[in-house]
Amino acid sequence: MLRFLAWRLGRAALTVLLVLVACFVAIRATGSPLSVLYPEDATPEQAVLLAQQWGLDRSLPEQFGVYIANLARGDFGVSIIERRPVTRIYAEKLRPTLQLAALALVIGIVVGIPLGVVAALRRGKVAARAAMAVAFTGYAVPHFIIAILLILLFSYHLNWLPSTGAATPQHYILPAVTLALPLIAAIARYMRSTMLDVMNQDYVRTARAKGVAEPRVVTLHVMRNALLPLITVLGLEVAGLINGSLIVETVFSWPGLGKVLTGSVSRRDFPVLQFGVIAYAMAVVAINFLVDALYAVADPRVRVES
Amino acid sequence: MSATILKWARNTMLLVCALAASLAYAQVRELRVGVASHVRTLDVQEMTSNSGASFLYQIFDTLIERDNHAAPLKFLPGLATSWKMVTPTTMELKLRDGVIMHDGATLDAEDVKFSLERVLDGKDPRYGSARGRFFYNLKSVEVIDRLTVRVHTHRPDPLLETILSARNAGIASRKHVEKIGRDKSGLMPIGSGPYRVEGFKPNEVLALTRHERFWGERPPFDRITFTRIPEVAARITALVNREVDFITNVPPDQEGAVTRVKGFKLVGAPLPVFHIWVLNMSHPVTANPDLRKALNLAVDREALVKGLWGGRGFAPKAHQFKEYGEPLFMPDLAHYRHDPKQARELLKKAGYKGEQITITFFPEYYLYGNHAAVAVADMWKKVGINVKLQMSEPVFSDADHTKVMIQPWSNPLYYPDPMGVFDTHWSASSWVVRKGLWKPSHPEWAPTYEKARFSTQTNERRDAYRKLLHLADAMSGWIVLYQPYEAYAMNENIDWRIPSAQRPYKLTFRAGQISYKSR
Repeated sequence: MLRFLAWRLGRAALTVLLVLVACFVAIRATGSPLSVLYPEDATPEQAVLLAQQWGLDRSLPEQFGVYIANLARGDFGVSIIERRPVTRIYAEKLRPTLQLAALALVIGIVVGIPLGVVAALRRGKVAARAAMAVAFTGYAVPHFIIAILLILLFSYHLNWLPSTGAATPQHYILPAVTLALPLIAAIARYMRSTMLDVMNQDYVRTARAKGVAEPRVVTLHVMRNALLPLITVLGLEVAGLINGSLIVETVFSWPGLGKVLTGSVSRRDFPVLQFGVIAYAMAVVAINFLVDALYAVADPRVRVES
Repeated sequence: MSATILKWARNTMLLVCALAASLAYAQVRELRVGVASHVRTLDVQEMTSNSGASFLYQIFDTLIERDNHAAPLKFLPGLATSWKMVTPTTMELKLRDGVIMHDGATLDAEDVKFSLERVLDGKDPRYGSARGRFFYNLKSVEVIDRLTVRVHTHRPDPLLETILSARNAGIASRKHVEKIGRDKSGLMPIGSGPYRVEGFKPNEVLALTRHERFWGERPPFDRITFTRIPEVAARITALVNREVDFITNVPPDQEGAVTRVKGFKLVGAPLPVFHIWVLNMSHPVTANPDLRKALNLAVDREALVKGLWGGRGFAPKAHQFKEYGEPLFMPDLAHYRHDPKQARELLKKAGYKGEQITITFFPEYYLYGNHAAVAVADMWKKVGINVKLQMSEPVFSDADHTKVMIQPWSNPLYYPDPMGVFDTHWSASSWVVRKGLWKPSHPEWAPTYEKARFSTQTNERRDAYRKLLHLADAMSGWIVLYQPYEAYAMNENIDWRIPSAQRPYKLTFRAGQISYKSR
């Protein structure tokens, strides 16, 4: 078991390192942040001084070495553009993003599960088809289109809801719904298919045969068993939420992590982007590692095969 | 009886509360501005961008101020109440007594010396931009006494008042910067302007509140917020949804989204900015002056203004702006014309054999820049030029230009004087000269440029500028396309007009510059 976990941990560390190298090289290939700082009138002397100040005059391997050494000391660097520690920038923005993601997750679960249940129980009926049509649309239409349509309807035409920022509780509605729609779709689809699987199982047939009332069959025997695999899927969907927040936060001018990350790409703010990518990669790797570990605990076959 | 009294008392209390609430609402006068771009620092000497100028204008005062709508420039007392030249290279300024800064300290000559001189020594790279653009001829600032300073220049400077009234010559608190350091003071600066910084999230939102002890006229708002809303549709939605009161950068094709909703209006004008294409004089193909001239003659500017800007941009006839005011603005100058016939003849003279001419353009960087590239490519094809369009990331000073033939750029008028567009873009220290894109080879160019920049006689400067424009036109190192049209959208109760004597895009929200009838 320990060997298995050590092997997985090593693989996780390697993944983070690869992501880091790719990000480090890729962002430097797009050009210098100094041209964003002073696009047109940096004198050659000024450019040299700035490059020295930020260590950009060194070779790429040298820069990487310095970066890794600093990381080992827990120093994630200072934003070139804002000149503040990147950790502080992210810490400030973590809350709005988490709040939005949590709200979207709750909406996704509260709406998605019943939708999937209805679709499974009323299979072939109009209600079920309609539910799945909505789910498929939610899954197929990208976030930014949903966002723009919602803004157009509820902010521009009806003037019901605000579209920019996070000042009041009302500000949460449109971005949370936008972020939740694909999640609702994913959960509903998955819930439907696992429900259908479970409904054909012998123990369900047995429950019915022994005269258990249908609502009890559905809630106790079908839904409970169908929910188990859904939990795994939810783990992956949380990663998807962070993904989606990149776009949603930009469209709604939401003061969260997504805005920091996209902003750091366009401004070539190397330290900010690198920290964001590492943190994101580590979060995904950690989730996967946790899932692997839990599988191993739950299912001895996984341990043995690996 | 007692029930009636109780009811009456309750109703009276409710009425009083309601009145108090409505009065409180009416008294908090806030202006909420949605801007397309924001800034990362509020260091008044560092931030030379367009959006920076708008924010800094509310926070910082300059020694000399300008009448916002006068052409030619008319100077007004600012932090200095009077000023005079005591030698050809020395200006003495008397400072206003009792100017209270945002932290309660009193502004004095040391603040002036500190603010301006930190740019001049060239040691801190963050001030290179302001130095190169405005202050390179300033030598030092001498403190004579608490309320008197002398500004020394390297050479006699006809533009000294103009330069000292640019916002990047704003005066910041020396003690504050020295206490908390330059980086932090850029996030929470102390000036003496009508509004002080209440909160600032870089590149996101800036909240200002009224500076109650401001030396000048009481500003019209208790609070101003500048929130970054990069998408134009989102900005318009925020306006019509009454989340903000004022938005910047509304392109002509989006104006309908504002005008079709009641309660809002647009204020727009062709700005003193040229969208131009630089023709690389170091590239083997575009090095030929006849070819460059032919490219220039084949451009139909009127058609571009009509087609792209709905007729609301401006097709200039020469590289000058009416904002200079006469005599420096010369209405009779007419260099730019559309003449396809002569363009064909010049191509022949240039020995053009159908070599591919590549237009590099930066998608979405300049409004309608993509459309302009396609339209001009078509105009050029019609005179027999083999054109190719090439998309690129915006490339300026730090890029390799050896393969670039033609690339877009913009020439905003940083101050209303010919040098406000020439010295800030085409001087010997400009990146286009360093990179060899612009190589003014004519022997008279340099001496004429000197005269246009430094002569102390206005007529001599005008004549030199006239000659400079003739020489530039003969060398045809760039193509002026048009002046873009810029519109702001706002609540219809706002009364504001674009300040022609300030640099383009500047928002002016001080007393007497904007009014907003109570909501």
